[in-house]
Amino acid sequence: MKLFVQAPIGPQTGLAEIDVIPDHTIGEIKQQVCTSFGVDSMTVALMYGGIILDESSTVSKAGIPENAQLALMPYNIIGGT
Amino acid sequence: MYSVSHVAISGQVIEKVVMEAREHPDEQVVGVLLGGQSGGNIVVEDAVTGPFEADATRATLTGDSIARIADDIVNKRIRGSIVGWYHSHVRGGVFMSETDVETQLKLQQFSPLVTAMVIDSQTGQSGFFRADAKTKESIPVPSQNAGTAVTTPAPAPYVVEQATAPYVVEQAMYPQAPTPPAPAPVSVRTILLVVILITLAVIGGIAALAYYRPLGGGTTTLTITHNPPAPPFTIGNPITFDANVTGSNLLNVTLSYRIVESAPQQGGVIVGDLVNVPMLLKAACSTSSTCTYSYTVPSSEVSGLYIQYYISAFDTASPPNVVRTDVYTLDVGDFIWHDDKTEITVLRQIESSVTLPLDSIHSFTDPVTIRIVTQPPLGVRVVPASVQVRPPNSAVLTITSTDTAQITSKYDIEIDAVYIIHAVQIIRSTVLELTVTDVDIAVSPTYQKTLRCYSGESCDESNYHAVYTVTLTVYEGFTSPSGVNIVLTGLPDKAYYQILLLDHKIAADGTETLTYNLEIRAHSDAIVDKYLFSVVVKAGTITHSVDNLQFEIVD
Repeated sequence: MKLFVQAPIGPQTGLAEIDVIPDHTIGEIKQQVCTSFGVDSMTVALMYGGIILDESSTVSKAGIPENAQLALMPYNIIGGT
Repeated sequence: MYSVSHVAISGQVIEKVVMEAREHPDEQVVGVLLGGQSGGNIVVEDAVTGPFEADATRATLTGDSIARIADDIVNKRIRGSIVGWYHSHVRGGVFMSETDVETQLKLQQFSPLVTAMVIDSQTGQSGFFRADAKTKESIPVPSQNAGTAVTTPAPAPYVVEQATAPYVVEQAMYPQAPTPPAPAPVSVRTILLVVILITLAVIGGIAALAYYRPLGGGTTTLTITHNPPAPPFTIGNPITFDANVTGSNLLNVTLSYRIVESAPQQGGVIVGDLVNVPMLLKAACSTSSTCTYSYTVPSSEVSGLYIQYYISAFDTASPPNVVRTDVYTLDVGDFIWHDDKTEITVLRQIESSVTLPLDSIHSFTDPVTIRIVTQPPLGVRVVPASVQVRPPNSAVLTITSTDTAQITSKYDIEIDAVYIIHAVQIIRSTVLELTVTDVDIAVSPTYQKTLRCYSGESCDESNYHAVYTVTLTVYEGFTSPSGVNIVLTGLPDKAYYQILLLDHKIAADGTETLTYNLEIRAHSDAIVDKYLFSVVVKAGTITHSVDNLQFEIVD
């Protein structure tokens, strides 16, 4: 099944199209997409429907439908002094 | 890499963020900046945030808040994308702390244009920064660049497009509506008059619309006629796109394309930034007729394997009417190595050749330069070091090594196929996994003597045979279909030898060591003298020997 992963950071949004099976874990998908975007996977999470996806969960367990649009975003944004 | 390009932000957005900061004088605030791009510059159109954890020295926009913002962007409930982030400092003023630089670098992974905005919640001053990934230092974006030049809207709104699937185009920035003036006290009569006037205007407007709009009102009159450019397309060669557009009140025609450099595979990922460029009018034409718009994707951007694109036209209505062509995919000629890795085992002193096939994709036949990138092991030469090959021909390399060449197992030599066009290098690499192997022989000691043995005597004592130790080393990867033979040459008549295997060891690196006992006996008829002999190891075409060994027959 096909999913889309968008990284809506920066003026030109990166978009990945990814072919997965329902048993793929979110962690596996994240790893693959991070390689494609050139992003350190430790700093980011996959998000869908306004929540952070659990990396040990699978595509089917997380209830992600075909052609869903996931977002790749940082875990948090921290400002400090 | 960082970019000190212009950051355009309106006074209203600055005011919004500064106000939020000043309302929280005792704790930091944090959020993201939304917007798009105009030319090479970031345009900040809005700032949003969600629930965050904060105290006086730290503010964390949580993953849950980020996930909600992401969802709003993906589903287009908010316009544009995240072009930066903001946070306030309760103390210390406008600067980037270590934490701030860390966060900034995390975001800059996605785009070097992402910008941090820091607000001093006491003074209301603000500044913009990026960070250098190498030095971990912040780079202030010059204040004149981050000025308030955009308080008046640009004359023509530009279009920022979201890369989403299926390709949805969105107008990301409109001229900003002026802030409504503070309401002045008005009388009931004035309100009534205004209400009547507005009602009349609305009715008149509807009537005018009904009159002027074509039937099925609200549909656009824009049309695009487009024929895809004619193949072949090869990497490094520009591609021109033309579109004929008809429509009144046309605002702009946009080409949206992305370069897809790898074929989608099972579980694979296609990534390509969607690039949006305005197409330019090819020749003067009247606004009501069909006009041809054109854009040439520069040679430096055309790389294999595919270019996906579509063309959109927008009119000046608000919201604009949009028409879009289908999504087209062009095959761009390219080449790849047939194999990612080729294993080869060479013997010292023996010349070997290896063939590395190059595959041509979409009929690509331009010459590419083959370069040996990795230094081969000592004593080994791989030639030619650089040569031109036209795919789908193969690169043929010859490997030679001296008799003292370094013995190696699975030594990776990177070989690049390089295609340079308009100062852009396209490099595809393969690996030659080289094993240099051999057999080696050693004999010790170099001198031994023996008594002659007369028939009928018992000659088992050590005086009656010269004993040498022969060590045969067979390195990893060495094979010989005809086996390995050890022979002696140069022994006198009536001298006899036998070789007995004493020990056989295989080391962790795969090197085999075989230890033999070499016994030479002299018959009673042998002539007393000193002799020189050689121990020779033969394996197929390979011969190694230890010469000038001494053997003496004594009385």
